[in-house]
Amino acid sequence: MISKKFEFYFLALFSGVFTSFYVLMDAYGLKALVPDPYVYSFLCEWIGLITCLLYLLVLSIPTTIKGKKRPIGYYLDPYFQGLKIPRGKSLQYILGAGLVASVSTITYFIAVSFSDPSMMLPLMNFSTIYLLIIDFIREKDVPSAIEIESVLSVTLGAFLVTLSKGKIDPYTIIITLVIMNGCSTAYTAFMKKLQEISENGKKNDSLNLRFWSLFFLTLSLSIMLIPFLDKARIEMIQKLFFSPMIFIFFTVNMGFAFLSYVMYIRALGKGKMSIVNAVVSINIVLGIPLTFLGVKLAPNVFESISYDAFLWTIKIVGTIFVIVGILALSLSEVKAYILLRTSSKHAANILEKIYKIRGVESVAAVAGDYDYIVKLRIRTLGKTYNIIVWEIEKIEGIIQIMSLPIIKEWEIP
Amino acid sequence: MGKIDAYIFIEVEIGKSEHVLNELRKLGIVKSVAFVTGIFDVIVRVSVNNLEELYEATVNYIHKIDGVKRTRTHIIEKELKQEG
Repeated sequence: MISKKFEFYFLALFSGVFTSFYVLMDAYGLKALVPDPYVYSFLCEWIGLITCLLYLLVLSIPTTIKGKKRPIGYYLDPYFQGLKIPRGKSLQYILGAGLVASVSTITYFIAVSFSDPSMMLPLMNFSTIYLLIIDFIREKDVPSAIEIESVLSVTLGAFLVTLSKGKIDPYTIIITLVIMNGCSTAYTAFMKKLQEISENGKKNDSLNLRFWSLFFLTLSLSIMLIPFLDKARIEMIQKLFFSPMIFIFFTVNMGFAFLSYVMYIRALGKGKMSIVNAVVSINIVLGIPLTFLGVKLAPNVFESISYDAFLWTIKIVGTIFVIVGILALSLSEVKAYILLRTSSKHAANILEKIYKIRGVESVAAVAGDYDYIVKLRIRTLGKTYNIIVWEIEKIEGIIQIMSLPIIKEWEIP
Repeated sequence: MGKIDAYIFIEVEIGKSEHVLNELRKLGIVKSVAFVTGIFDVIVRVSVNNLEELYEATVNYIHKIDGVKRTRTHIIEKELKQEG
């Protein structure tokens, strides 16, 4: 049994760690192995798709876990039951996720080719704020003041860390803020939705979601890449595709990406989108030591790091913002059980009324000493109190409220 | 046949919490264990196939754990729950 909250932050943090690995590998690959971004992404997606399928097949091998026959992938996602073809609504959302991901990839290449990309990476961090707004709109999942503060702190911190010297170009800013961030927000929202719906009573697992969204991403990206693939590039792809060195590089690179996405998608199923994105931003901070390592290991590939005092002050301030924000997020969650007694002539739809209250994770009508057991998940005890007093007391028929704050909790997945 | 879910509230003797937790973890029907402050010390959520199983678990297992002073079982009749 592990604590649910621990599991959520573990998944989001490690998604960030694996992201920093493959981002570094991408930086290396683009400079040392395949300098052409179009060829690079074509190879990366196709080899990635093939290796992803291989990973999935290996993870489908049945084994015995706790006396039950389960695929090895159970360790990565308990809902995984082998490769399955998406259907119905799930298929639509996966298709959507693949499409928006390919649009943002191609937009990135086009934007880089005509403008200064140094502003793109910092501005891309702002998609977390878009997610915060979506979390706001979703009725049952309203962020609290401390969440907004923390998410903003992380986002601004990430912006500062990734900031580098460059020109401010209005086209780049508009493209990044509208297309790139719009696409990545849509991708996250699709994945969140996919975690919530189920097909034939079975929940979608992150491993299949990753594979199928990559499948559609690769297909649509390949179609969009066609106009850019001239004769020289096609020859380069033909030559590099069968090079063992390149194949191994992308297998490892996309292995990290695979783990990163699987954990990201699973974390999305457990918490708010903006918080997952904020915690994953840790990869930007981890990128700093990893770049130092890169310079040490491959000095000819990575440019030596600038020691501009001003830039470093900004980076350090940004790092502090990111870390403080993530810590504040992870420490602020409070859960509680609320026990209720009702009078004999209470309203019939009391269960629904309680469930509509923000912060209520579950409500059960029970037989025993009490009549209802409510489980709350909120950010501060002060807010709990407000929920109890104002919202629950307003419901007609409730005569006694007993609150039991949870100190620690373990859950079986 | 649907499963029956229930909350079991447990009052624990001072200093025996760790032991009670470890014993509860061994029980296969347990879905979650929460330490709380208030009139009870531990809230356990269980999922069983029938009432017989619930009876067995409470009377023959939980009541026999050293440190358990008192339990109150609440069987869930209907529940609304958020996914995830």
